[in-house]
Amino acid sequence: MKRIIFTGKGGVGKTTILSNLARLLARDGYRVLVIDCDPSMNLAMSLGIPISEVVSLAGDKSHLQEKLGGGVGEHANHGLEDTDDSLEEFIVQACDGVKLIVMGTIPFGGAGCLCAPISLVKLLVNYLASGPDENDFIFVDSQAGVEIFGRGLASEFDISFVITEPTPKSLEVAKHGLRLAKDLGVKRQIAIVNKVELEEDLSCAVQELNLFADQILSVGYDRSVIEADKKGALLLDNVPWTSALSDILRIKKCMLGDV
Amino acid sequence: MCEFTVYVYEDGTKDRLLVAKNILAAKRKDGRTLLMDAFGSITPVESVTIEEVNTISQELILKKIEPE
Ligand SMILES: Nc1ncnc2c1ncn2[C@@H]1O[C@H](COP(=O)(O)OP(=O)(O)O)[C@@H](O)[C@H]1O
Ligand SMILES: [Mg+2]
Repeated sequence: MKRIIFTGKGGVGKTTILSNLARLLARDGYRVLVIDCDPSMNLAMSLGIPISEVVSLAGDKSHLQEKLGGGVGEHANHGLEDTDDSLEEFIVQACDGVKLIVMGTIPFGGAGCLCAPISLVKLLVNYLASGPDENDFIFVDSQAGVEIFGRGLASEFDISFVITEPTPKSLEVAKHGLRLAKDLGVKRQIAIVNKVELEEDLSCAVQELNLFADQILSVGYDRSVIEADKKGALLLDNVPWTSALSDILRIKKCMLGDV
Repeated sequence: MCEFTVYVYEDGTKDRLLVAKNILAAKRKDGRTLLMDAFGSITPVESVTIEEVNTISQELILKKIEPE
């Protein structure tokens, strides 16, 4: 099982790339579980699932924490089967057989920080990694910025995908993310320059990222990505395939090449 | 993030010993304090009381007491 994290500045295309990559892998027969760790909770929609159909982890923190961590309380050690049963209710079947778990969001103003639900995701990923091999890939979609790395969730992950636009601000966030992922012992660093319109923008971005990433790939700016978003449609269901999807297919090939 | 590094002060000394990192929860049980970390593993500590909990420094400080 490979654990893979997606990070980058807000709006750079993390969720778009993750959701399409996950589906492409699932179509190849891989078992893919995606976890939405962004409190904006966009991933479900990008996989064709209305958010109203999702039961988030944050809704049931203490119960699940006891089960996943063994807990420090009286209800420790329910056994694995029981934990698997508890997890079932949080797993949503998305298109092409991709499985989705949503961390959840801040339920009301002043409700406090995201530490607790993120801790829960950590326990969950740890549980899934040490249990029976039920997934080939676990993808974690994250909130904008580098905070997720401070939380140590991606510690020892197999791949960190850092997504960036070819703009200075976005590249700064990407470089920082690549450095932090290295601190956490992530094994492979792949930078993706998204929404590329000009060849020269890409080469500038590559120069910036060269020192930090093991591989640098790109996805071209593609109007049809936005059009699909506007209609609430899924890019992968578009006929014929658009250029962005061909680029994401290249990312998949590159990723599998070394996985 | 709200995870604590836990230290303990030995009786009569000013030096604190590192007990555990990334602690999410602490609970007293049968005279021991159980510390659970972000990966679910438990560190038990004998005969201590809580001296300070601080989310800014992210530290939980314990102090040795006489065994119960
Ligand atoms: N290659 C692309 N070309 C054009 N627009 C894109 C591309 N990739 C993503 N977008 C658009 O950028 C916006 C942000 O994408 P999203 O995946 O939600 O970003 P993030 O998850 O990083 O916040 C969306 O409106 C999406 O349609
Ligand atoms: Mg997103």
